[in-house]
Amino acid sequence: MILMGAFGGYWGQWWTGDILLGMVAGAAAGTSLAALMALLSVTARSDQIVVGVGLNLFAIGLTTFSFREVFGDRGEIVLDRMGTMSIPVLSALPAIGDALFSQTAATYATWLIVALTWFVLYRTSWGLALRAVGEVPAAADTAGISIAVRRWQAVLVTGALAGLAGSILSIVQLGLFQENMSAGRGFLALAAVIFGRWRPLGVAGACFVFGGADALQLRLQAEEHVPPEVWLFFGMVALVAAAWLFARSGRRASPRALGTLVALATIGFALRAAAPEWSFPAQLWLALPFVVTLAALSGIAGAGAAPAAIAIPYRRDRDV
Amino acid sequence: MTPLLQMTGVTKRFPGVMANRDVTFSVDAGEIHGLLGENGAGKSTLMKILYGLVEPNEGRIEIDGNEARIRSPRHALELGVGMVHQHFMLVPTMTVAENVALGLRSDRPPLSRLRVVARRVADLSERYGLHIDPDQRIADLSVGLQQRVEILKLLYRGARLLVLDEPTAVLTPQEWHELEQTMRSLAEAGKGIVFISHKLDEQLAVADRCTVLRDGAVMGSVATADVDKATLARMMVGREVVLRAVRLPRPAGRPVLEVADLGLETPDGRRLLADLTFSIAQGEIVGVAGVDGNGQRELVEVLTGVRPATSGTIRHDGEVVTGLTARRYHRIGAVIPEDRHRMAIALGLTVSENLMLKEFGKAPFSRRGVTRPRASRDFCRTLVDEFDIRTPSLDVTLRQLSGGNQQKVVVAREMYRSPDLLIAAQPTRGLDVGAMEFVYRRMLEHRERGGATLLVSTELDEILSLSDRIAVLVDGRFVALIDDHAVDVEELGLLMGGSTDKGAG
Ligand SMILES: Nc1ncnc2c1ncn2[C@@H]1O[C@H](COP(=O)(O)OP(=O)(O)O)[C@@H](O)[C@H]1O
Ligand SMILES: [Mg+2]
Repeated sequence: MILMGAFGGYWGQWWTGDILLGMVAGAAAGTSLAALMALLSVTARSDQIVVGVGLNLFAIGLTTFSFREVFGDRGEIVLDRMGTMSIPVLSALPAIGDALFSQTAATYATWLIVALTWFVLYRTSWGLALRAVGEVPAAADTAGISIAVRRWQAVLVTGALAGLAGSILSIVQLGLFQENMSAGRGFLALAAVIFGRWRPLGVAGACFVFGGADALQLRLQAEEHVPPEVWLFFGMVALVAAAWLFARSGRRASPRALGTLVALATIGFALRAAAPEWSFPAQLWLALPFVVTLAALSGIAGAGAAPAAIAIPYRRDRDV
Repeated sequence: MTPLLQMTGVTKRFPGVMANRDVTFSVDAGEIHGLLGENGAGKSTLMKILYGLVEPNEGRIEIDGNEARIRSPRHALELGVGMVHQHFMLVPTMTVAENVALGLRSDRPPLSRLRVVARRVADLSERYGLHIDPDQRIADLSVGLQQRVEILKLLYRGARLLVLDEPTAVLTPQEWHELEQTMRSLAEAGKGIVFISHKLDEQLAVADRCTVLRDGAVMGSVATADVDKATLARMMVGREVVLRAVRLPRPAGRPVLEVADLGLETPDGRRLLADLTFSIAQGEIVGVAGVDGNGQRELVEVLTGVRPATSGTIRHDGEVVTGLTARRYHRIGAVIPEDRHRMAIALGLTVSENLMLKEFGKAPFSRRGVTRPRASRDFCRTLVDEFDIRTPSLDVTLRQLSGGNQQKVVVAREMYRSPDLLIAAQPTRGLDVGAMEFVYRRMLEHRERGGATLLVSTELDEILSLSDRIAVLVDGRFVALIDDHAVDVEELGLLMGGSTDKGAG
């Protein structure tokens, strides 16, 4: 859906010449794929893994094909990007001011969307029903809520948001489209959701971490080698994390998690001490976001918070 | 007076079964109307029709004398009909207020306004004496309280007719008495109540009238003041039922299971079981009585190798088997676990697959790792016949069978090989009298053959009528081990409460 949005947005802006209309087109493209998803998984109750993988491949194929059809012989067209807006005063804050408050309007909008998502989920009847539909659909059904309608709505909204995300990637940030340009970002988003324990604010935090890793990756790619100081840095981060874990849960802290962190710290310092000139090729940075994701998911995140009925089609005759 | 509810000529066919045939049923305002019937008699189906969850093939429903075609739970609720399902329809991660607000239009849409809901919930809870705190999470409430939340949900929606589907199956005796009170106060407030249960005592205790279903058809509708237990049992099962087991005295043989100083502690030092010493001989049934949660589950888990003991020894036929694995246990004995859904059967697998769970890797059912369906089918068909498992075919999933028939599958799988040792935990929980009688008969046959049995049960009648010796488990210890059953229900009840004046043996 992100990829569809990326292409839809790019095409939309190129066609209309307006970046906002492009984003609308991106959202629409995401939504249309979501409609297909909902049709297959909610209405036809197909296995979501199968449908998901299928739609993923379909989106890659469709966008690649359309891109070549429409733009194939025109060469690379770089569209106007969205300008940044600095928020007075705040952007002048030292250190973080420029990074946080001198961004495109789209970035501010994402913050709004996070807040809005939280509000809808936790303060409205619709959100209450939606959460119930994900946890115990039978309970919602017997309370008179239509499971199919809610799930359709949820999938469509998701599609629109994913489409929007794609259009931000293509037209807001880069101004161009590349084949399969979302390159696994959807899976990163999924990981962020798990890491954020399925709560909007947690997910926003997780995105911060992953996004940070991504940004770091972009910066560091430019370097030829991994500077050895990095080991020191990671060692320290691991130590701090271990100390935090210990402070928070004291003796009940999981020995395995503590052990892992301390071991990581030791390895970090040891590498620095033993082989100061030894370093990895810069390509390693490409994998950084995924490494961070993997570490976050396997070590720290618990799976407990996932909606209980996720990915399970609802059947009244079986579940009531 | 027009009844609150009148169902006439209701028929529902499922593939292979007639769940309801020509059922006529009515409930007055202010009445507690019992619906009695064996597992699979069609009680739930009838009520699901009323609640718009199942569409009837024929029949007419009138509410306050007006014909109603109920298409959905929402529609049923609008008409004032509410249902508490056998399995609770609550979202465990949410609070009471959130669960109540679910599916309701708030006073200021689209906001959910949970605080307003919580206040009204607290009011209702007080009015009917339900003692519910609207801000607690469902997962933190006891089963009895969760049930009250379900009732609250319906009251909140203005239900005038409340259907309670097997509400007592999950309750402790104490909670049952509280439910009894709740039902009475609701009836006094003019609500009509349909009380589904296959337990005769409960029907006689609380219902004003009782309608008996058998094989989907109404066997009669009687005022409970005019009937006794035996009459109701006969209406329900269709024949005389003998629940008092006839247990011939028989000399005990050599010990099959010997347990010495068995103990179990959690890693953080909590004692779950301590100093348990007992033995079970051939041809003997040892009953373990006790209030739920005093270590019964742990005792069974330790004995069957599901979790290791932290101290003590277990011997089987004189050989030390302490620390045995579940796999090893199954070579020496059989087990009917307390929670069949979690520990004994796979609801999503078929009848034959469940019957084969312990056997499929062995000859003649598989050869060099490849299963042989023909041999398995013949074997399963024999078991289904011998153990009277009522199923449309071997290939339906276990989920489609009634609780009684699911339990028969477990009993068949565990017992057909005539094991030396049987450990049965709450073997009749949730079963109707017909199925109960069946399980008792099988256990007594096992005893006659010289098998040893450990029966863990919270039902004192069951313990008293089946056991040769009775142990009372309180806080993970035996407070009494009574050699003969020179003890009656009252005394046993006292011992379970922790009094220890009966001699330990
Ligand atoms: N959805 C269904 N599909 C097929 N058969 C069903 C279904 N629901 C119930 N039955 C069958 O209908 C009969 C009555 O079931 P039920 O109403 O649940 O009985 P009770 O509640 O009295 O135990 C049983 O034989 C059961 O197997
Ligand atoms: Mg039922």
